[in-house]
Amino acid sequence: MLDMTVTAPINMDVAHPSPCWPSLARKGISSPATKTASGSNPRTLTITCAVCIPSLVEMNWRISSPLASGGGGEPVRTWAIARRANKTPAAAAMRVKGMGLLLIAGFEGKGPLKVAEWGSPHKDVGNPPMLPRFNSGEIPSDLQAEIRDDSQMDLAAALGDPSFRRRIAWTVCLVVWVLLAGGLIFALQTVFVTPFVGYPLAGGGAALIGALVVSRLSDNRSGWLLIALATAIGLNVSSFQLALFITEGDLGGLAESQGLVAAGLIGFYGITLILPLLLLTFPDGHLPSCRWRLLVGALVVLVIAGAGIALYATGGIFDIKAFLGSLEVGQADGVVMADWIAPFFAINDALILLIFLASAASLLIRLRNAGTEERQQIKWVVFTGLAALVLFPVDLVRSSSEVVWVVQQGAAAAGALALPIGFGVALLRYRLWDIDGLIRRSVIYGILWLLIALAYIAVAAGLGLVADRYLPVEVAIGLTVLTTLIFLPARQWLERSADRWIFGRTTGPVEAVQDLSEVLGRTDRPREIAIQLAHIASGAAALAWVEVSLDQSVPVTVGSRYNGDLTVISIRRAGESFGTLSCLPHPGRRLSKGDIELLEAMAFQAGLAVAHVRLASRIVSAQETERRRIERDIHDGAQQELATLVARLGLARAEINGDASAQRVLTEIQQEVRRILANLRELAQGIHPSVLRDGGIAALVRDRCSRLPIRVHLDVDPRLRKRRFADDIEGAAFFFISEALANVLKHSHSNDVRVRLVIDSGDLCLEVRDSGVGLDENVGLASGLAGLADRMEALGGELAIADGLDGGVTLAASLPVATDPAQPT
Amino acid sequence: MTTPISVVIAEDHYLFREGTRRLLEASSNVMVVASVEDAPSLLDAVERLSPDAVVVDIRMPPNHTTEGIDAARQIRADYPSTGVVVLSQYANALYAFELFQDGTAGLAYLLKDRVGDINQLLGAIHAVTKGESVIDPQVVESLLAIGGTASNSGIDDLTPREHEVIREMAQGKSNHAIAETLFISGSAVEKHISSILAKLQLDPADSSINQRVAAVLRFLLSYNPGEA
Repeated sequence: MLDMTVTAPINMDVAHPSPCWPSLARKGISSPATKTASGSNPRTLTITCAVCIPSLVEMNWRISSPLASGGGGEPVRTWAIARRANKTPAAAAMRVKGMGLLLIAGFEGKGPLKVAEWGSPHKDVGNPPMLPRFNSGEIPSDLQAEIRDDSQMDLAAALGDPSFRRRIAWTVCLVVWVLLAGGLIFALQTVFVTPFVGYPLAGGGAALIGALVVSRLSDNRSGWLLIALATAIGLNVSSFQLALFITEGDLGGLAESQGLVAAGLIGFYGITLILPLLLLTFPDGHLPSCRWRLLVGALVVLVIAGAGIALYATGGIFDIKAFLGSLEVGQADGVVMADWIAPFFAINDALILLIFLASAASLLIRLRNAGTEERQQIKWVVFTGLAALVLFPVDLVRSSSEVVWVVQQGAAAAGALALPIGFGVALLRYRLWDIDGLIRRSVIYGILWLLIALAYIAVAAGLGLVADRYLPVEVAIGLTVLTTLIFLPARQWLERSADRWIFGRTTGPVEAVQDLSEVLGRTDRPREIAIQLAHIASGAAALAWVEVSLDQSVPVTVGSRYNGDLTVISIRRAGESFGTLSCLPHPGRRLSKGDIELLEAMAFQAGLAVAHVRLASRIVSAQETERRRIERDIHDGAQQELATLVARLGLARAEINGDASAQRVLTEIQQEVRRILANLRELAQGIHPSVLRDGGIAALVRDRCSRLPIRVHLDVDPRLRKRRFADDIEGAAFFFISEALANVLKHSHSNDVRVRLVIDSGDLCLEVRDSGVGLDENVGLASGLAGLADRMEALGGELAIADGLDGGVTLAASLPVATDPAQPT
Repeated sequence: MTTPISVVIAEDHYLFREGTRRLLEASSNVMVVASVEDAPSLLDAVERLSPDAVVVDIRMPPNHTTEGIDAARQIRADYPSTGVVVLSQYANALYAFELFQDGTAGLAYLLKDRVGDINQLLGAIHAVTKGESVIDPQVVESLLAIGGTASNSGIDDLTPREHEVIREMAQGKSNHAIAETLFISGSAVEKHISSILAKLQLDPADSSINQRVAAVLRFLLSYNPGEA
């Protein structure tokens, strides 16, 4: 949700939504609530945009501005362009005619207001000099806009120019390394060789990676947070180890190490603060949304409280030996503290842990809404984070074996380095290395190892063997053969499953084709076919980006595009081409032969469906042609002949001058023929009105409305007055108007009717709204609509029906029409 | 007896054309000098024969749309001494508006079956030769309906001076000619006209309907209701 207040030097009046809204509502897109702020400042227009649809690329709504269009009240197009890589879409933009282009876009939770020219709003703007091109972030002086700025954690801003920042980063890195090295040296001097080889390693890694990131991207917040994290680790490790060294070596009492312990505690709480922030603001340096600020606030309070309690509670009697000793036996409470404090302390720690988990979860939430690049980045961090979780605790398990110890240390070291490396790759190298493939292999082999291990354990348990004894040779051989046998199918199954988890491949090829058949069976709108094809193809072939373009209509896209080799598949049937399906696999992946065959099969299926729709529209078109022909036949044939008959009867009357009774008979016959002629004329006009053929849809509607026995408010878009459309479009529009007006007269019990004709972004929109009984009581309505809906849909249009705001029924239809300007009539 | 009125008939339906011709010739004061079957030959005949009047069908070859109306307007523009009677199967206001776009003088619009009453057709022919205009009652009805949503035609609200102005407009006079006739200034005429348009609730910005024509039509209807 985004509240946007735009102050513009005009008084804009928000017109009632276009007739196309009911149809949008049917697609699940809610109409933006629009309102005008009146009173003290009539210049303010407030748009409250409640639309936030991830896949929405462009959306129109209408604002009519009497002033902007020179008093005519012509609707002014507005755009809301949502969705830009790595951004949460909540944007609104508009163009005001006569004022030039005004595009304002705000991103929820993002700092500066962007004023730019995304989308393609320039296309139909007649007067280029009226369009100032705004640079990003620049707001024209006569316009001011406010958008809530949700996060001002601009750490980097204070740090001057990039080279200075770089120097600072490397200096801090060096200091951290020195601290860590000192810590290690002290650790080696004491009996407590730290069990956490990984811990200082993680710190050193974070410092190095942070400095590298800052060198490359000097204002990257994640880089700075990594450096801060490393500093906290360095402080923590070195202080504790030195404190330990002092107490251990009897170089001083607890009192002497007190300052060091305090520094170490501060380092520790620094870690608990920075690590969640790092996860929350990755990868773009901003919180996922403003709601997360609450969490950050809570975290800061808890960390300060925790550090405060710890420092107060220890009060210099913090026994570092006892602390580390307690860790070794698996207890966490090394802090010697008063009893009454302990519960607070525990609760505080638990809350901090919860916030940490929430911040980890925020990455998964981001992953769901992210664009391609951001997904890759987040995947790296999530993957290496999970690896760290698995590897890091390995050296907590004590073992007497020296070999095991070495392996443990190695695993721990790898675990410790995994996360910093993950961040580094995510920030610097994510385009080059294929994380999806890595995850896929890890998942597959991880699970296989687990299965094999479980199999061994199960067999061993079954044989009642003690853990440290070896399996009998024959059992081991049998087991190996068995695992080999199940390995292959298991691997295949796992690969399929892994693909599904990692690439979002939701269906197998057969299921995909079945799904497509099913949805194609339900629709007969080319647009819908394109949407379904794009979505199902995207899932079935694990595509990063798909674009389905049918005929000349606006292409349907799924996913985010990047620079890569397009695979283009033609949608055709029997040599007739209807459009194309273009796609890109996920970065680093290639489309297999099977994938391409699958996509071709789906494109072929869609081609069949499109051909079917074409056929329907051809039938409608043929019907229209036929109606015109019948009308012409009646006009040129029977009507003319009857008129001739009337003329000849007139002649006969003139010739038999004098005979009064013959005169009377002839006059009677003549009147009879005229009545028949009038009936025939009505019939022909009902089949196909000549006004439609000669004057177009606007003239027809005017004509029809003038014959209604009830009050009519007619609102015709000035652009429609002389505009002509294809025969079948005009025929369908006539059909709609006739049926809708017939409904008003027959069923609505309304005594007035509003008829609106608008041309709106390539759609001819017709709307008939009455003020009679609503949908529930309008019993005759539904039966008449099926044929109407069929006819609209055969032409790619749609029919919408809704209860009016103030009672009555609104029937609206939209028909796609060619966007080129009026043809000569 | 005066000299008979020379008439050219344009109609693509043979029987109707011949029927009309014989009907007109039966009356002694009309002479049909040519009967043709499409618009180009009509224009050709008018140029050659300079008839007093033309009787023309709206829908003719080659397109079977509104060729007759286009020809009628062209004849009125190029040969002001030739009146035009347009015959049509349609009583829709659209065609009347199309026909009367440049003014009403010397133009008549009749439904085809009016030819059954020779006096109506002869009356219309006589009227157009004198520069007057005739509109079929049924067309009048649909014109009134189109004026439609505003129930009152507004003619009653006009001042005597505005009445004079619209009467002159109805004769197809330009603003300048009206000013000369009524001995008022050109700007006064313009002022009266915009006041008339406002009273008749005609939108001056609406260019699709020639508001001047619409005003005149309203005037004619109220002035001479029913049979024209």
